[in-house]
Amino acid sequence: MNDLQNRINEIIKELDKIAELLYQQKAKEGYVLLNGALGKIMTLMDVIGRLKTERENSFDLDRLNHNLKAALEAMEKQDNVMLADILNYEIAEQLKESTNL
Amino acid sequence: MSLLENNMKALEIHRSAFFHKLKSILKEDKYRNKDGIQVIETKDGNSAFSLTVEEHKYNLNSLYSPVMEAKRWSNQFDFKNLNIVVSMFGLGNGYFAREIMLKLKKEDFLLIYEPSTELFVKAMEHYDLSDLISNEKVILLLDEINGTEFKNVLKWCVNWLNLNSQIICHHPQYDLSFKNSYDLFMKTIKDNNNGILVNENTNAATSKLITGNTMKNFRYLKSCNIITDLIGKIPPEIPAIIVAAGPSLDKNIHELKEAKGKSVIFAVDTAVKYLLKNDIIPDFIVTLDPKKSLHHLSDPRCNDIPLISRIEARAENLKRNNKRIIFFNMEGYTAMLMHTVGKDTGRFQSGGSVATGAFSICKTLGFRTIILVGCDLAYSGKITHAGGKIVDVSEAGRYLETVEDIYGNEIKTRYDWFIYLKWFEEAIALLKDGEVIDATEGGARIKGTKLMTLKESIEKYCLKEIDVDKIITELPPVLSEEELEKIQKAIELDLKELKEIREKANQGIDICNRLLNKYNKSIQETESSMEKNRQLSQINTFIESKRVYILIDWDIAQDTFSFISDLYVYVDNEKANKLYTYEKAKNLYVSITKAVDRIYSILEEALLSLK
Repeated sequence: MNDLQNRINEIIKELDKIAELLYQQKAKEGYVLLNGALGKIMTLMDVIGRLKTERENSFDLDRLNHNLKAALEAMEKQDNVMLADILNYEIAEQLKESTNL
Repeated sequence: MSLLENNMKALEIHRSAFFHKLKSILKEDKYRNKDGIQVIETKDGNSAFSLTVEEHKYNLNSLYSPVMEAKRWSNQFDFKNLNIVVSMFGLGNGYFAREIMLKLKKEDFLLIYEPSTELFVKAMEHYDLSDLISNEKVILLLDEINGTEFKNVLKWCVNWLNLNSQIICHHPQYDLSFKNSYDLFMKTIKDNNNGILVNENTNAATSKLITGNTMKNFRYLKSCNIITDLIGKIPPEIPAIIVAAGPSLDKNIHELKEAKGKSVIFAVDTAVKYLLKNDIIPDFIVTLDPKKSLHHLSDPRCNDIPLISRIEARAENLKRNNKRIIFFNMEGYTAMLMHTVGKDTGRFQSGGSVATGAFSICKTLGFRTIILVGCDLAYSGKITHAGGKIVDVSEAGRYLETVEDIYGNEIKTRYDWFIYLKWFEEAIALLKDGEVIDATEGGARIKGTKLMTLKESIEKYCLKEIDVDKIITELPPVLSEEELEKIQKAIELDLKELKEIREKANQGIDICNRLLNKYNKSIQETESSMEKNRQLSQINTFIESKRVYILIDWDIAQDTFSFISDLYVYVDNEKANKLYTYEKAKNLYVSITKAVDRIYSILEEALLSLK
């Protein structure tokens, strides 16, 4: 479980860094880090999906999927501030809520 | 009071010219209720701007937390440097600008260029901008009102010293939604920066000229005076009259005939020809710009009037004077030499103009009454100077300001005059005793002055007779024979030390070569390389401790200029950086040896001219 929490904390830190870069209009650097972070989120979703306990299964994967879709839309519209907001206030928030898994 | 009213009130108090123009714009009503701009409530209870341009929608703020977004955006900028000028494209609703404003230090400035009147009006209606409006470090430019002043304001704010302290930024999305305007904004900044670099290159090139002029003018040290020699020579109850060349001089110049012989008349160089045209001979001519050609003083009568000048003035200008040269504000090497014989050359705040310099002189000489004539510091219609002369405003290239005139009405002034006006007001406020009379009979109201006509002030204050010519004739030169000899000996010592400096600089070149050789092979420090670095440090300390080094420093300004402009070049490689540093150091020592050769010969000539 510690491993899971560590992964989540790491992702939260990275999302914060990415959001900061996007707010500062440093999109190129932000996207480079985002690439890595998205990979980690995918892995996390995979791990959570295989979890067995009820508490563990309370992580709302649908909500995360929805926010990732919103993030993708923001990227397509090249709305980097919206992307930063979603990463910061939606995805990172959900991950923070789930750190007691 | 609505937000718009509150913001307009702030504008009226703090930016009256802007306020009046915006008021006329608002009357037209064409900038309000524009559909392309929306104010959207954000998740944190604030609001954001959304702008639609050519069917493309731009959210100008975060729809979650625009204040936090602005804070995080502003974190990327470093405010540690001195005299920072932030040029920001786009005000938006003020969130981003505010975060910058909160980080400014006392000497920093924030220039905000807003391209859209529609957005500006919307911001004034929906957001409290009064803190930005009332902050004197914020310069607000709206394209439609005063956008053309951007280049002039940049010229005023940005100079050689803070060129690299600039922060250039834009409100998010403004670069895309106002692309043409943004491109022009960036070009204006680039042009200004280039202008400064070119200018500084020119100045660095003229530093050699100024050193040369100073050395050539050493011949006058035998017979000249310095301003402080006049302290106590003029009775304090005699008034000083400073005559500048503002347009109002035409009105009352003839009155000055009654003041001659009962006051001390200081004429700024540009006013002299008008005085002589009216057969009024001033007691002193004041000229402070060392590069100026004195075509204003082409009348041969000028040669018999004591001239207050800087020792860096063009030698040919001083050569013409038959009466007495009085040096003002000696600095650097010359001041150091004079101090060796106990002469206090004084510390003057010249204020940036000849008139303010003349005021500084009068203050030092202890005049109880100073009368200002021709000090309009404002336009008289389009006329800028006496004689109906018009200096084209666009050529002058100054930010316009509105001030109060002597009748309590509004009058336009140039930004440099505005600065002199504020200088006068501050200088007058610091006067412990005595009074300043503004007898210009026009122009800007100079706070702290008493308003009188020139006729009235002459009748009231010019009561006692004074023969300034006699005072000057009887005034011994600043240096006695003995003092002159001491200065000669000091220069002889400096000549000897110049040779020592050249020797040390050559040692420096040799050490740099050895270090370059070593670092090329390995950048690891050894005992030997550390010892060599210590030796370089000792060489630098030796060179900089010599009095004559100040002449070298001036002389190599052009050479060091090109090094300094490379200072922010960062090469992403430790070895390359190290090699670059020592190449630079070596080149500096080479410049020093060349400077020594140049200075030695002109200093030797200067010494001969003193014997």
